[in-house]
Amino acid sequence: MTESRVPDRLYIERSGGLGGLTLRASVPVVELSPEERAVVEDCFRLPELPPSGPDRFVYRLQLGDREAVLQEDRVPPGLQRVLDRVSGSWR
Amino acid sequence: MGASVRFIVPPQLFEQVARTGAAADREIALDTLAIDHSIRTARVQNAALRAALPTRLVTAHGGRGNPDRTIFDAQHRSDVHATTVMRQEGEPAIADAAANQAYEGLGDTYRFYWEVLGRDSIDDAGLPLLGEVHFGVDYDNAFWDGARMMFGDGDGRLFTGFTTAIDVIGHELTHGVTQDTLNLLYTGQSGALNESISDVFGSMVKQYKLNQTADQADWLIGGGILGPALHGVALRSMKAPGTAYDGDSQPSTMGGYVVTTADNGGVHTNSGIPNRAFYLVATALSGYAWERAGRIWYRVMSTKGVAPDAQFHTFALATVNAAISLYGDTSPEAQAVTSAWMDVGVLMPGQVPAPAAVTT
Repeated sequence: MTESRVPDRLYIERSGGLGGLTLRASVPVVELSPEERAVVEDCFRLPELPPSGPDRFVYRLQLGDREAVLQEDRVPPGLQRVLDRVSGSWR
Repeated sequence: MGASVRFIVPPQLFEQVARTGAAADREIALDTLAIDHSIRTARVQNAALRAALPTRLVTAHGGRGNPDRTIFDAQHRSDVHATTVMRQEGEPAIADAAANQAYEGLGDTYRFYWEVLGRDSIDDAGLPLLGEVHFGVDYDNAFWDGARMMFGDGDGRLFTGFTTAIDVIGHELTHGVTQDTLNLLYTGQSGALNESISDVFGSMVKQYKLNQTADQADWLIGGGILGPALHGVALRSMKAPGTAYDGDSQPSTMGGYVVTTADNGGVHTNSGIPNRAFYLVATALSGYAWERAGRIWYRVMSTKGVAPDAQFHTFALATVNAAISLYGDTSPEAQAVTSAWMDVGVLMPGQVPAPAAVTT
């Protein structure tokens, strides 16, 4: 039996905004609280929605081979805390 | 002109191909269905945004030719509309630079639309101009939410604030005008046109304020708001797209069109192409950009000259037709518009309406 490998980092891409910059950051999965991991898992089950409006940010989450795209105004509060933590490290 | 999208091929046919067709055909069908779905859902979203526009309030200020501004303090929140009023129409400056800059910038933008284009605010019916400053914590953005203009303070690293740049304020208010007129879908080429129109009119607001001719203008968007982590002079250059800062990936012609899933299909990237077309028209005609080039672009907006899902090519033809309508089919204006769109690779010889065809 093969054990599936657990991804060790959550990769986050932020694009859009007035500046249209595409920036990236990542968080070690072990640094996410159980609640935050649950929120991230929920995000992969959400349908991709149309743009919220002009100049809003768009977030793309990647965990292993799974991806989720979230419009800024639909980011769940639990994920917002994660985004706030990486806000100083966008590259 | 019609303002809705109609597909000639029924979606059921694409669904059948997606289920039973050959691999390549299935991929095309799935892509088409995805676009169809996104357009339909975006239509619903745009209708909701239009419904969110605040109705005009009866106040002692306002009236045609007079703005009706209110600046709120978001107090670094981002989850609800702010209710703390910082400065209202007619009140003197306060001890908050961002609030005063937003107030003045909204006034300058209102005056541009009224004095140059005869437009009374976002909806041409005196809609109050509502702005929020100090939005979010270290928030690196400014945006129009369908009812208000929101301005973050920046994190000091990437951006130093957004109210210092009058063209940024003009850009955001113009998103409201576009929402009220063309209602362009905010994805792909129609989204890039939406962004370009905001840059075009944001730049003209700045030029009008500074009394600059097209030759004197710097054609930069967001000059002076970049923080130390971004090496450059502005967010975008309409004159030379792709040169505003290190890493600026805006193309200036269709040959460099960027296909991406980021930023709703690269709406802030590919806007460089129509931005450059406008710059070429304005400088070819010389004088003030708003006198002729701006009037042609605005004609397309005010007459709802293209559908919400308009592509670059459709918009280009609409501006050519607007120039012909305003100035005549052999006019320098019509020739300048045609030449500009050809220069950026959107129009090709033979694609232009016959009366406006010119030798370049």
